[in-house]
Amino acid sequence: MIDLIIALIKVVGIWSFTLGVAAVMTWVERRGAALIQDRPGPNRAGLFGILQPVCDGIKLFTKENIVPEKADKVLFNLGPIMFAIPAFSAFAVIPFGDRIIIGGKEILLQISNIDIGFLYIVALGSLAVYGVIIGGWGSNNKYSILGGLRSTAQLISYEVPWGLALLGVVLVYGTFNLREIALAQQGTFLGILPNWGVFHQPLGFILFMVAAYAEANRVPFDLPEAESEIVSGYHTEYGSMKLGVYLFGEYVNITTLSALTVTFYFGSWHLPYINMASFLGDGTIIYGIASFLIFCLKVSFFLWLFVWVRWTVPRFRYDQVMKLGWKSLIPLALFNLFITTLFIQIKYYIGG
Amino acid sequence: MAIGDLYFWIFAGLALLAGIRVITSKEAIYSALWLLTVFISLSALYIHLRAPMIAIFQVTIYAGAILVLIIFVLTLLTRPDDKMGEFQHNVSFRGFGALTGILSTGLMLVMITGITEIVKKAPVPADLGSTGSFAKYLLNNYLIHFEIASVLLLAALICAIYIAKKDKKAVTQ
Amino acid sequence: MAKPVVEKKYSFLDSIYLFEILKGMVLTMRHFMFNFFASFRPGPHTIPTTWQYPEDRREISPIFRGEHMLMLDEQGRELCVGCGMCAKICPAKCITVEMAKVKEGEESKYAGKTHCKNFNIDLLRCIFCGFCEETCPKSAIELGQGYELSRFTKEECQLGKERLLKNYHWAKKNNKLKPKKVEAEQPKDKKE
Repeated sequence: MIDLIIALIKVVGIWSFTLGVAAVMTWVERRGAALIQDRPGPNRAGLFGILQPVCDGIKLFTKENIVPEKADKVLFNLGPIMFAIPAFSAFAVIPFGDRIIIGGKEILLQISNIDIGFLYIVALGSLAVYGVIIGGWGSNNKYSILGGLRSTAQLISYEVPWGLALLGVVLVYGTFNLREIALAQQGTFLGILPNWGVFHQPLGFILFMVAAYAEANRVPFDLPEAESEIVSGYHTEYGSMKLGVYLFGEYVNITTLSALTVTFYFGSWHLPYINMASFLGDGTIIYGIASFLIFCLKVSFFLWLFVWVRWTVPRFRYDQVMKLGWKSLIPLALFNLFITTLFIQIKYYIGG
Repeated sequence: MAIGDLYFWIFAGLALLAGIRVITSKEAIYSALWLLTVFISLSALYIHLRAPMIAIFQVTIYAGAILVLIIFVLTLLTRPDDKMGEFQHNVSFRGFGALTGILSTGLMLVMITGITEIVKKAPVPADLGSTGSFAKYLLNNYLIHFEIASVLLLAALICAIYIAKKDKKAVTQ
Repeated sequence: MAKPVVEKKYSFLDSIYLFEILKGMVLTMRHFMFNFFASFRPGPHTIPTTWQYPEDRREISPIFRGEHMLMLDEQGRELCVGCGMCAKICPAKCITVEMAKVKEGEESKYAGKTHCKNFNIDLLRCIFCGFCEETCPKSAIELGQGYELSRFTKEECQLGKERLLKNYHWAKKNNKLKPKKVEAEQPKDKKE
């Protein structure tokens, strides 16, 4: 019974944290984009425009909810829901920090610690395609269908190198369980480098980042939803809160991908050479809070990286996107896997 | 009724209801979405049988790749006024369908009685369903099946590429 | 002569494109840092290209055709005699004028023998061409420098006489009246 209550508290906490991060991301994106482009950005709604997400939320809630006449009502309403659900569900297995021991009871800062965490993430990545295609088809608009199908093709093409790059990390650490991957990134290897995923798998990290940008439909891969190309693609016909769910869902997707990058490649809550558990005490509340804050700091760096790259690089053409995915990333990912297994076998034979 | 039984009845009922709706929906996309519901309920039933790997594979492969392909075909390649109803009025089709349905139901009932005999007597290993034992059995005991399946997929891939590739000489005419 | 098209050869590093992205990101970060620290400094135009509107306003040239005002002469008497020439010449027909004789005790308020009882300009129709200013025989109406003319209701967009006079007083106080028109010197030998 007490387990159920703890799990419920964790679910509510992580869900509201995710929504809060997505809301703040809208502000970060607008202000970061503006400052890069030599203009001020929103600076009237509160100090430095920090209340702008609140105003945007109120605006989206009070707008009229228009459903096109010939559009299929069931599919039109179902699209945003199917887009948001896999994005939120992926947070169930991401470890936000190390454990807290209260009165003999171990509370992990993770909603569920299943043995196949990595496969669960891959499955949800595959399910993320539905929201796009159902939303595009249900709008009864040529541009929506085109944008939806293009986006779907891009998503399923880049799932393969995404999964293969992550598979390299799984091979190195030897487990599918996300908490064990995070725990195994302690200490150093080869003497001076920390035991993080990015040093074990540099090529895999680059492949994962490129594929993650494609999975999130962000620049430079955002042709399916670019306003000047295809009139907003699959979310052309949506207004008010349904569009809000699509835009929010995109930011939640980005947060999920940043959290995955940090968990697999950047040592989830570990500082580079310091072992925090030793001087803060393993399992105390302050250690739990410190690990959570370090995780949040790393995730916010990657969120800023998404915004930074968006306003640096122009978008790819669709055939360039497909060529990159199938002809460059997949062979490189397979090559990465081959090299990783070679090294693991050599280490096995040398180690005895 | 224990909570495990309740879980089973809910998802099994959902799978049956969704299965019936697959074949009785008017729109093709609705059938595809009900099929998605079938796949997800089956995945939940696999978890109930202590096979989490198979559950995740069901979602990833069936719901995540095959069904996406089916929906692609449905959205790209259907004409708007496709009259599926013409096939439904044909008496010989309906008779043939009924006969096949009755025969396959009979076959399944025979198989179920056979399988329950085998399953009751098999010993359950301690690490049933974990990744390590799954990999061990797949790559040691069932290696031939694994290799033949991969060769079959490769053959299908090559055939698909050959069919889809345009003849270069015919294009330049 | 058009330049012939040359296919650009990409070096190996260029075709990987990752290094180009990193170079671009350094440039973007420089812009970001400059503007980020600039946004904390108070004062106008700190971030290079944006004028923050209510605090920084643009300079208006003295011959700008903005909101209308009815002029007074040096003794503070209204110049307008209510002749209605501006209403006749207005292309958008937005001016309405009613003439009335000046009564006995009000000589000090009005410069002429008649004055305008009601004077109304409909700002929703006015095209700000300046014909009324050019044609007025007494130079009584001028187009000033007001450009913030949005209101919430249609009734508020009708310029009545009080508002026109108020515009004049405000412009005089803020020293935004146009300089007096000077007759151009005629050339000495007009006829050859």
